[in-house]
Amino acid sequence: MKINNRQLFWMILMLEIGINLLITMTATIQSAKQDSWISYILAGVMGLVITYVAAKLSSRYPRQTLIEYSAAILGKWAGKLIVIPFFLQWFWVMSLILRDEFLFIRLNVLYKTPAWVIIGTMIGVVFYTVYHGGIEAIGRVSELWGPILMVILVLTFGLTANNLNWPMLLPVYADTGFGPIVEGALAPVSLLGEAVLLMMLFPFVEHPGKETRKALLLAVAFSAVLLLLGVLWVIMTFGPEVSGRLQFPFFEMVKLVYLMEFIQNMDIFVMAVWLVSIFVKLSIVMFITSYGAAQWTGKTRSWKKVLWGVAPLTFILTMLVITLNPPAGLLLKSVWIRYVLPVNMVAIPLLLLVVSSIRKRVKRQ
Amino acid sequence: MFRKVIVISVAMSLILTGCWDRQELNDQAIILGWGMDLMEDGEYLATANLVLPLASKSGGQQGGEQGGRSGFMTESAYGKNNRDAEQNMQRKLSRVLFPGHRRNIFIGEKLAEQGVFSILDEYGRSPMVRPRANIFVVRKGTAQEAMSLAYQLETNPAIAVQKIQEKSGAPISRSLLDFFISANGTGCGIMPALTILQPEVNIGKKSKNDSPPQTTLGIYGAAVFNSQLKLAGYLKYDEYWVRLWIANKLALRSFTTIINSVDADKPGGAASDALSGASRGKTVSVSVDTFKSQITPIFRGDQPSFRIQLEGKGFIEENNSPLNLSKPANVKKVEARMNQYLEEKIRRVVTKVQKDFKCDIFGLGDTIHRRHPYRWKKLAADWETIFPDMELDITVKLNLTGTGLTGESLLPTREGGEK
Repeated sequence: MKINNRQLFWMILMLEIGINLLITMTATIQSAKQDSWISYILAGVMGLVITYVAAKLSSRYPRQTLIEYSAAILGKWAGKLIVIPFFLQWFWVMSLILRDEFLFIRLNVLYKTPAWVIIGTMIGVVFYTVYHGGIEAIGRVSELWGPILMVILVLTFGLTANNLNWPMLLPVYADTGFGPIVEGALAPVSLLGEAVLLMMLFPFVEHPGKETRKALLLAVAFSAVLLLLGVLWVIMTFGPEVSGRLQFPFFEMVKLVYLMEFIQNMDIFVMAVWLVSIFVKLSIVMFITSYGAAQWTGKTRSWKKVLWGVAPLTFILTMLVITLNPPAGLLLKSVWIRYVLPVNMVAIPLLLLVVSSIRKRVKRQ
Repeated sequence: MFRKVIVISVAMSLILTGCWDRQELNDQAIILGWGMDLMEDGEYLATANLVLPLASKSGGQQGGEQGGRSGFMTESAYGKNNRDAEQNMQRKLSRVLFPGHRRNIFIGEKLAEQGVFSILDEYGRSPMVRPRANIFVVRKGTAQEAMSLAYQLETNPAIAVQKIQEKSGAPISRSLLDFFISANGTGCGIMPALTILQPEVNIGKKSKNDSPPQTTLGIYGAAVFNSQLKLAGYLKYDEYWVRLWIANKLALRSFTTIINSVDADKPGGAASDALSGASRGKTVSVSVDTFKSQITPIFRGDQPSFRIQLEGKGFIEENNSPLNLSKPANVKKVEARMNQYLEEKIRRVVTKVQKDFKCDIFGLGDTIHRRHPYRWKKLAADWETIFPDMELDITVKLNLTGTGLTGESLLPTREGGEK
């Protein structure tokens, strides 16, 4: 199982933008209003820093995953303990994405289809891909669909351009101020920062090294730019007030496409592409969860057996989330931003990086 | 083993055909228009304009009728709100109401007067409907009256009003969205208004095949809503363009003014002449297709005022005045007279909005907000009281780029002599 740098680029890109375009915008616009684009720039920069730290750490151990080198850095027990938050995060991500997918699909296309069918079919497809192709298949799918996603996004931006009204972006800064802008940046950065799962993907790259780091940073930068364009477009279309009240402003913007009578109802393309990017993200997370769990227990080779446990568990968790139905905004703010962002994306990678460089120095002396 | 799983799952998908959301086309009643009225007893009456499947099949060019059937049907029902009425309507319909193509929404005048706040939510909330929709107020009438009226050129009156609105120079098919945006801005909303128009002169049908003008649907202008989203008044068809021009949304419009006394053509002296209201005389028409508006807030101390510069590009389409348009100086004269006329006309409309509606539909407050955000913080709360007495300096600058196919008129002599 090997992927190349280009595949890694597309994987990270699809992982980043699919869900980010859809769910973070409302939270950001509610707090940073028409200055949300500043928040997204800020988020992009922070996302790059987070990715850089993780990539730097991984390139010290280019043949090992996070699970392996955390044990190498901190010792066996501490190293095993410190990756537990990541497993929690991955299960959390999978069940929440699936929940979001279900909500979105039920709201927009399939009004009566029961949850277990939508969730089950998605998990089935993901399971099939991961089981048979592993990371290689996911890489190829991303490489195939990434460019198509780009084309659709460019088309979307082009076709909605006639609705734009740039004075909606004014006044800059006066209405919001520093606090709200930074607060607005938290939601997108918490999703951009998910690129830290590269720590699991790094050793699967053919020749892990400088080029890999470059591909990763490029992917995050590219996603940040696309998200920035997305939020600019949304604000210039709806204004800060209305877009802050819409649940999926980007999608609503696409629904507005109406050109020359016959170019309309573009939303179905965006939806299809969005589903593909959800699929890619789920596959990646499911793969690293099972692979990581297998490594964690010390039986790397039997990761496919672990997958048989991870997939049903995800299904059960998702159904649980759907039944309990916690509000998405609350989850994003009170769990994801409060714990996952500072702990999994910032603290742990930084800690590992610091400890490993201290160790290196000690060894040299 | 895995192959077995796949075989079983494929087989299962064949046996357990579970298409929960299947909705055949011939099981749907496609809604093209939706109307809401407020009745005397306080209940809402919803009216739906439905596509008649048989009629629309062969395209309807024959006055909306085919073999004695019109191309649409309307159905109505009482209800507490949109959804409730829709459900009540469903009991009369053999097909499921499908609002995915609901592009036109009609609101009766009475409902508009009571405030549209109580019914507008569904148009943005329901995932079945699209955000791109036209919303109209039916002046001096109910939505049901307007929607029941057959329209001759189209099979369906809902399509007709959509197309009429597209041709009126206003933004295409987004009045609902614009209403949501402007209601969130300085607090005033504006919607296009429809009305039922009697023919100007009634002439009877003398034989079966005669087609004299009939009672039809038309654009009245625009309905202005105050900050409580209640109807404040109307702008007429000949006034609505003023708002569109100032808000930078006008696409096309032609203007006609009177140039009677060529000799008394001192600058500034003939505005009254241009505005005399006479419908007959020596007229010039200009067709304008490029519009620009620049609003500049000016502060004297804390007191805001505005300079509104309107620019347009167009050409002369009709000239019944003695002016010989092959002389550039005369084109300049028409330009100057046109500017005078437009300035006066616009000033009247703006004053009407300021004094009668007391409602900032021009986005002047938004301009201060965007250009001088810190000053706006002090003004925002009192904007409703400041706006009616606001001083506005309006200048119009038309740029006439052509005189049509001829310079001089093709007619040999002119009343009033060559000029």
